[in-house]
Amino acid sequence: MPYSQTNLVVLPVTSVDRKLFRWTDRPISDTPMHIPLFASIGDDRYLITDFDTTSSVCAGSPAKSYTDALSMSINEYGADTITMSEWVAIAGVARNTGADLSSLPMPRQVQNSLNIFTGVLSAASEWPQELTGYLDIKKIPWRTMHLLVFMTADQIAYIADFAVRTNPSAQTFKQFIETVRDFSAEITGAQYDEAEFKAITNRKSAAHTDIDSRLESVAAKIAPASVQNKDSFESPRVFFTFSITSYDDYALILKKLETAREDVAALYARLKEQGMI
Amino acid sequence: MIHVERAALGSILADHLEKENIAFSVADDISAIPDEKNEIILIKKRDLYAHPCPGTKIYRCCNYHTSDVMEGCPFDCSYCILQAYLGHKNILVSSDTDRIANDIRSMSAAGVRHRLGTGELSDSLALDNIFPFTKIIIPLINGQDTVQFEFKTKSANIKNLLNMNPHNIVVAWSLNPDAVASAEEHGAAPVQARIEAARICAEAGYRIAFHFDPLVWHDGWQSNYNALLENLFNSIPQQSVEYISVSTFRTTTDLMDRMRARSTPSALLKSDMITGLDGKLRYYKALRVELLKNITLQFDRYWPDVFVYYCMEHSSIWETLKGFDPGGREEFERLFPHNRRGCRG
Repeated sequence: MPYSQTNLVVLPVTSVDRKLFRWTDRPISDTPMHIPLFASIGDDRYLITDFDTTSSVCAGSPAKSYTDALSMSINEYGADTITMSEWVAIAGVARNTGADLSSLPMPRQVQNSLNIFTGVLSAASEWPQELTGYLDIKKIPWRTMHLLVFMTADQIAYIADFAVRTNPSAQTFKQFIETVRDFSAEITGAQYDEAEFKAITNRKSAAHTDIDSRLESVAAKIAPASVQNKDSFESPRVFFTFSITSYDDYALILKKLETAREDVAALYARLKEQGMI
Repeated sequence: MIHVERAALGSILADHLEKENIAFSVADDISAIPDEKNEIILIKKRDLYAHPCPGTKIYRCCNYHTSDVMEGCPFDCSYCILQAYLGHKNILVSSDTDRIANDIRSMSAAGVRHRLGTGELSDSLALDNIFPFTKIIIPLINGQDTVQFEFKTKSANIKNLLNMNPHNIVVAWSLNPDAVASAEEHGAAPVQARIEAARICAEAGYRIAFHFDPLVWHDGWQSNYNALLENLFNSIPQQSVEYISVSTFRTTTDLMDRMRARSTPSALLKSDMITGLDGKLRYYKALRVELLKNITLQFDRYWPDVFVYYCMEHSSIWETLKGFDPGGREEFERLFPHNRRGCRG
């Protein structure tokens, strides 16, 4: 039997079906109050289907307040499984009803970081849908998303453009937005410019790139043997690695190593010049 | 706002507040005090003890010992590791001055020559006008021979240091060029004020030290550091200087996140960082060498008699720039003038 009060319409449900929580299926702008909210009193469970934002939820209703109702719903749904698009919708409900964001159940990732949770939720409604869609699919961690809070609208558009165009891994995305933040004065415009961005990262890692390219040059000549420095030359060693199954293999490796003699000499001269060894 | 934990009432430091009419509130439950930087709490006791600086075996550590009489700092340097290291923003001040004194006496009685300081988890002098640790510690150090005590600061708060007839006391300032200090060292004294304070302390008989840590890679770094050094060479007599510590910016991913979350992103994040052998992030080695080499050459040229050391650097960099490896903690510590003199300094 429906439980009804002046400002609240709820339907009793006998079992919790996750399909009830289709947060994003209903555009928030069209029907802001139609996002399902779940509440319970004792063993009875209710699906709140509609309520009037002009009045507060009355005492005696399944939920004592909108914050309460929203919290019950989130808990039932599972805060850890809610996507960013869904959180945007929830934040919209909270905004429209005056529910307190800081009192809502939080994902475990940000359990002790209220500022990250509320900061991201407050900012995310301004993010373009293609960006939140990307964040959903890649399950980008909250701490990474927190960096977006400090971005200007142009920077957000720049990042969204990058995400759409390149569909980066979560790790690449994190590095990208860190660079956008670190070089915010140099990165202008709202469209991702690959050449401009590459110029910035190249400038940042010029010394590194120089040594890495010398190692690659040696590597190309000595394959199937490999050459690497495992710790960015913190310990001043270069490792040459190869395996053999016969003397012929060994002879071949020796010959290959010999072809790289000048490159190795140049590499070490450069390392010496930079004071790295 | 200053708070005194009820159990800390009657302590020397609480009495000092009353005597000097410094306003404070009494707190029954310090956990109810907001966790903000401007909330300073005098607490009864904490597990403070004089202990070795937590270095690593991988990078060369000088075996400095730290006395954690305060935890937290009124300054707000963007790069400060305390933001990530401490679990709070409050400044906690220990009222257990007996324990502090006993720690110093125990170290001294052990007969091993050590350097000890209060500048690891706080600024040693920034709050000395409110909590005058210098007036407690300097007489203790003056009465023994083995422990050399360092007050490390970015302040110019030296009033309590004058007329103390110091022995084995080093007053040290962290320095960076104005361009870095004004952008990154929020709330700290202007660089010129720090140098002037150092000059006054040198005249008052203190041994003086400077920490160029962190050296920061930035546009114009070489001319900025050289101008700072020229200023220093012209302001402070070489014979007053006990040692110079130099090292480049080091950080953690947690601290990087916090730096990026500041209203203005730090210039320190624009350089090529690698994960070091201790898991911390540091500049790519070639950049570190360039920064360290420049400053080492300046000191070799203008203050050749001063002991300059690298804090937490790899032995290969020592060998490249100094021609030797300082070795493990104890071996490294023996290089300090305090140890080489072997007598009161």
